[in-house]
Amino acid sequence: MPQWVETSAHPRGNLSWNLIRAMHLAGRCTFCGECERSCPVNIPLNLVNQKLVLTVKDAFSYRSGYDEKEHPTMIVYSPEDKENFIK
Amino acid sequence: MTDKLLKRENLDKLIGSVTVGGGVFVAPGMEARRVVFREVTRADEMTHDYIIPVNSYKDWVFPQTEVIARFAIKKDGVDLKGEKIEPPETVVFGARPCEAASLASLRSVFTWDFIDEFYTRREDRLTVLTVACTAADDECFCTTVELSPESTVGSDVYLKETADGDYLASAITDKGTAFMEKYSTLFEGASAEAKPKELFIPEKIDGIDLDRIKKWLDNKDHYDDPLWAELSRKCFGCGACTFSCPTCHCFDITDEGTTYEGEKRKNWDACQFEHFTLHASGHNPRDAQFKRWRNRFMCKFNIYPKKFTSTGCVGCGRCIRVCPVRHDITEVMEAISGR
Amino acid sequence: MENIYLPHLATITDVYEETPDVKSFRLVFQDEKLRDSFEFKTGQFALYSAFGLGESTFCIASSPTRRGYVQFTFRRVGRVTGGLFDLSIGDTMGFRGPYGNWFPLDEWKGKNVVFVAGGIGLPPVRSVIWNCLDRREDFGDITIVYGARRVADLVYKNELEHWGDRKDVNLVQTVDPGGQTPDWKGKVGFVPAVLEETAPSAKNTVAVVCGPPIMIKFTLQALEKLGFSTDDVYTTLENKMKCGVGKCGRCNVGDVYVCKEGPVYTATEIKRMYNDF
Repeated sequence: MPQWVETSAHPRGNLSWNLIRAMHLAGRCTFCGECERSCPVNIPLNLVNQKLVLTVKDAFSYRSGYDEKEHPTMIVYSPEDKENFIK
Repeated sequence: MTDKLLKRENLDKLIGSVTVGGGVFVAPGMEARRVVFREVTRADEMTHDYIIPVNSYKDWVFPQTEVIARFAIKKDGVDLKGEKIEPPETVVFGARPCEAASLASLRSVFTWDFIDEFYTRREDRLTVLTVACTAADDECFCTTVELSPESTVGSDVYLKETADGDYLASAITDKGTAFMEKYSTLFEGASAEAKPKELFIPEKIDGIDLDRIKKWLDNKDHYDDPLWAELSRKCFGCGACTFSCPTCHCFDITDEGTTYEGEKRKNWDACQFEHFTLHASGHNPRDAQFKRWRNRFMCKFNIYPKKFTSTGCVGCGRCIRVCPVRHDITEVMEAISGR
Repeated sequence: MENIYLPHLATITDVYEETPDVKSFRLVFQDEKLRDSFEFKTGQFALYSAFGLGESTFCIASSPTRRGYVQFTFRRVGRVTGGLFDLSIGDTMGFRGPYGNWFPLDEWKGKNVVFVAGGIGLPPVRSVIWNCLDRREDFGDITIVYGARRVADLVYKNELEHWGDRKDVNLVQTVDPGGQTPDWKGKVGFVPAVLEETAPSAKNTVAVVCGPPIMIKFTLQALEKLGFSTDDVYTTLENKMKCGVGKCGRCNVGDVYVCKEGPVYTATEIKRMYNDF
C-alpha cells in the first residue's frame, strides 16, 4: 500500500497534514491559541481554528469546551444533524 | 587581506548581478513578523535589524524535501532514474559567524566515507557572506562553545558593518576572493575613515565547561543518570529545535507516489520524534522523550567531537528561542558541568 | 552525478516460504556487469527497496563465496516487508549495498567455530556458516546450535537437514518447551540452556551469536560460563536504518553507528556500548 498521506514538506504534503489536523480539531478546538504561539514560523493557525469553530457552531450549534457533560459533536450522530452539505 | 567597502546602496546592484544569471540571493527578511532567511530579488526585501534569523540557511544546502530518484513500475520491471541536480549559484548574505561554522559540521557528516553529492554540489555553489554581530540577545552563546563574532570559520567573505550602514569586506577563502573579484565594481577600496562598528562579544556562560561535559558524557554510567529525565521533562518532542538548528542533519528516506510511479525522497527528520527509532517489530530503543533529548545532547557534545573535528553546536541559540516550552540547552550544559 | 542513495535493480529469481510469515528471496542484478563484479564480505547488510513502499535493512544471508546472486530472508512485520512479501519470481526490487563491517573470518583460521542462533536470527549467521563450510579446511570443529519457538518457526529447514547430515558439522536443533511436535527429533529447551548442555570447548574457539535480544543476553552468559572470552564472541546488531551510510543519524547506539562501525561487534564492544538499546 503506498504512502497515502505524504510526509514530505512540499506544498501537497504540508496541505494534507494541515487538512488532517483541521479535521481532527473540528468540534474539539477550544481556541486556546497555543498552537499559534508555539509555531516557530508564525503561521496564523488561529485563522484556521476560528473558521473551524464558526463552521461547527453553524452546522451543529455546538461550542467545544463550554459544557463538560456534552459529548464532542463530531463523535456523536444525531438524526437531527443537518445534511444540506451532502450534495 | 585589504578591506574593501560594500556600500549599502549597492546591495540592489549586487543582488541583481547575482540573480541575473539565474543565481539565488538569500538574505534575512521580515516574514510574518519574524526575520527569516529567504530568497530576495531586491534590497528592500532585506532587513538589517536582527540578531539572527529564525531559520538557518541549511535549507539551501540540505532542502527540507528533495527527490533522489524517480521510478515507474511497469509490467516487465521497474524504470529507475537517479536524480541529477544542477544547483544555481547561491549567495547567503547576512549569516552570522556562529552559523557560518556550521557548514563544516554538515560537510563532515555528508562526506563521511560516502559522498552525498546532493549536499556537496549545493555547498560547492554556495558563497557565505557573514555579517559580524554588533549585538546579541540572551540566547546567544557562541563564546561558550569556543566560537565568537570574530570567528571567520566557514565564511567566504567576512563583513563588518560601519556606522553609515555600509560593510567593510574581507575575503577569507578562495571562493570569497573570487566572489569579490567577480563583483569588484561593487567592492570599492575602503577609505581610512570607514570604521567598523564595535562587535559585541557575548560573555561566556560562567558555569559551563565543555571539557567536563565531554568527559561526563564519555562515562557510560552517566547515560542512565536521573538528570536526563529531570532536565528534559517539559520537552514534548515537537522537533522545532532540530529543524532550526544549523548543524542538525537527520533525514528520512521514503517512497511516494501511486501504484505505477513515484519518487524516492530525502526529507528532514528529527531524532526528537517518537517514530524516529521505532522498529517495525514495535521495539523502540528511545521510547521516552528524555531518551530522545539525551541523544540530541550526546550527538552535539560527545559524538560529533569524537567523530569529526567540526563542532556539533555553534551556540546560535535558535533552539532556545524557538522552543515552545523554553527548554534551554545551556541549562543542561551548566547542570552537567556542575556534576 | 554519483548518487549514493540510488538502488541497483534486481530480479527475484527464487522465493521460498520458510514459515507462514518469513520468506527468502534470491536476487540477481539486472545489470550484467554488476552481476559478475558484485562482491561483499560476510556480515554486511543492504537496504532492500520495495518500490513505492520504501526500503528496509536486512543482512545478506547468502555467502560471498557463492557468486552471481544474493539472498535475503525477512519476516513480514510492516509496510515495506508486507509489500516485499507480495512480490513474486520475476518481479523487480531495489538493492543498495553492501554496507557495514564484516566477520573477520581470516582471523579465525585454524580455530573452531560455534554458531548460536535463534528464530529469525539465523539468516545473518547462515552467511557465515556457508562461508566457513565453503572454506572448510580453514576451520576446526564447527558446531551449530539453532532453536526457535516452535517447529514451524525454524527457518532454512532444508539446509538444517543438510547440515545435520554432514559429518564435519555438529548440528543441535531445539525448540522452546511446548513448541515441539509429536515427531520432533531435536532437543526441547531454550537455546542458551541447550548451548550449555552441548558444552562446546572454548579453547581456540570463536562464537557467532544472533537472535532476539533476550536470547543473546542469556547466550552471552552461557558462553561466559563455558569459558569464552568476550573478545571471541561475535554478534550482529540490528537497528532501524534509513540511509545505511552514516548520515541520517538514526541507527546509533550511543556513539556507535551500526551502519558504519557495525553491524558486526564482539561481545567486548557490546559491553562497552551506551545503554541505547
